[in-house]
Amino acid sequence: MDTIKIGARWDDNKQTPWFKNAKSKGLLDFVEINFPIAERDNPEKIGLPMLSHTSDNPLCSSHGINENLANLVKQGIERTQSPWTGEHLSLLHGDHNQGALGYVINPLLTNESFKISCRNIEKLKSIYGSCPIALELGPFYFTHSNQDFRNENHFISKVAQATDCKIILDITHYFISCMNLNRDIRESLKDIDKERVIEVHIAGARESANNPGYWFDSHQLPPPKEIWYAASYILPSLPNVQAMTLEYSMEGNESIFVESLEKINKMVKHLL
Amino acid sequence: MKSVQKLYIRLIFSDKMLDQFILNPKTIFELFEITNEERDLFSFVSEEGFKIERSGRQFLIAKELYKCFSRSLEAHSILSVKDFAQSEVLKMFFDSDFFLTSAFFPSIYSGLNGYENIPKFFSLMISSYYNSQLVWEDFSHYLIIAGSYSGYQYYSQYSEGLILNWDDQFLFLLKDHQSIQIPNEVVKEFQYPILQASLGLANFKTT
Repeated sequence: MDTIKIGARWDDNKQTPWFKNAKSKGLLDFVEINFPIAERDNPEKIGLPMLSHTSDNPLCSSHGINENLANLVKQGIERTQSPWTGEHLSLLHGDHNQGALGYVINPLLTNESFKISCRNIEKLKSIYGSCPIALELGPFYFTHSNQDFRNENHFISKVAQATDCKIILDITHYFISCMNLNRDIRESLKDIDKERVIEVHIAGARESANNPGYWFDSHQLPPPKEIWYAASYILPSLPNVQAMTLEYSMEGNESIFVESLEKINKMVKHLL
Repeated sequence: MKSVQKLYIRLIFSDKMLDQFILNPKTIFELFEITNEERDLFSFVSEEGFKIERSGRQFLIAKELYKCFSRSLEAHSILSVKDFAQSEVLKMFFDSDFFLTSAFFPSIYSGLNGYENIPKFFSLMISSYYNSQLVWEDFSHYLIIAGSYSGYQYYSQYSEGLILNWDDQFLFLLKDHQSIQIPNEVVKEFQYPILQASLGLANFKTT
């Protein structure tokens, strides 16, 4: 771990003033663009290197990936000259072309899902060309019988190995899954192929008011102390991580965005 | 696996399907052509985490839709996202084919089909008892915002405003939720797209 670049997720032009201010304070090294973006959007105006990412391709779908969308992301990769591009190991729909049904939906952890995911990723690789793909998981809430993998971390590691992909470890998703499934944060790390983790994400989360013990991802909140603690434990165990990305939405406020970036900068400086 | 995926998604969103499944899983397995080997995968249905994940996912969609249709929903005493997340109309939406088929409008971000819940919910509303002028107005404002934002050809026609024809009355809707009634005889003077709305009209039409 020679250096970790610090960035934040960017969804549209409304966020640009926040990013420019954070850049002027020396808090940002890059911008992660969540493709596809609207045609009038212009993240280049921020004046920082860009990293490509998408949450919209159903890599685990038995109906295959959306090639039109993949071609749009490819244009994004070329536009940003991204060193790698992020993709979610997820489903988005039940039938072909139903569209996204409210954030990424986790696959069932079976050999069949594994084969489908590998096939879809190979297809995606043929579209993206030489740009490496980094895979990310959503937060998990339940297990099922007849799982062919120990857990989702085992699943993503095996898929990444079989398709020679990198991994994005979303620390918030990882923490939420550990809490929801009663797992130890340290113990669960052993199932992740840490050598392949090239990027980490960090975002807010909240514990359910009605169902204590269960947590939800929440991009309009700052990362709580539990997530910072998890990050400080996990980061030193990742030998090849090159980027740490904050996910914070415009529904929040700029001072929290800046404070969170300051904390990340402090943490990364302390680790190196 | 396609059948497994289809049923899995149905169980996440449709309360009706989940109730039927709990009552008589065999019938549902047969309906979705789930093989005997695949049936055990669905043990998650009884897990607490599955119930919590479903409510979280449903709430996310409720939040997205409420932003657009709050005025229409208030007319039915649905006064907050929480109310909406528990409402019959949202359950009806999740049970319906509108939710689980492609949107007929392209996404404002990609120009591709099927990445928007708002047009799907609009289709349900105008095809049901909930159809009203307010639904059309809310959706018109969504189109205007999308038009000024998206940049994709499909939406740009709405970027400056549109005319809503409801019950032979013409309403000129502009940015920032402004609206002006236009006399029928001068409507042709306005060079804006016209949405043809009415009670009982199931299909979206524009002229």
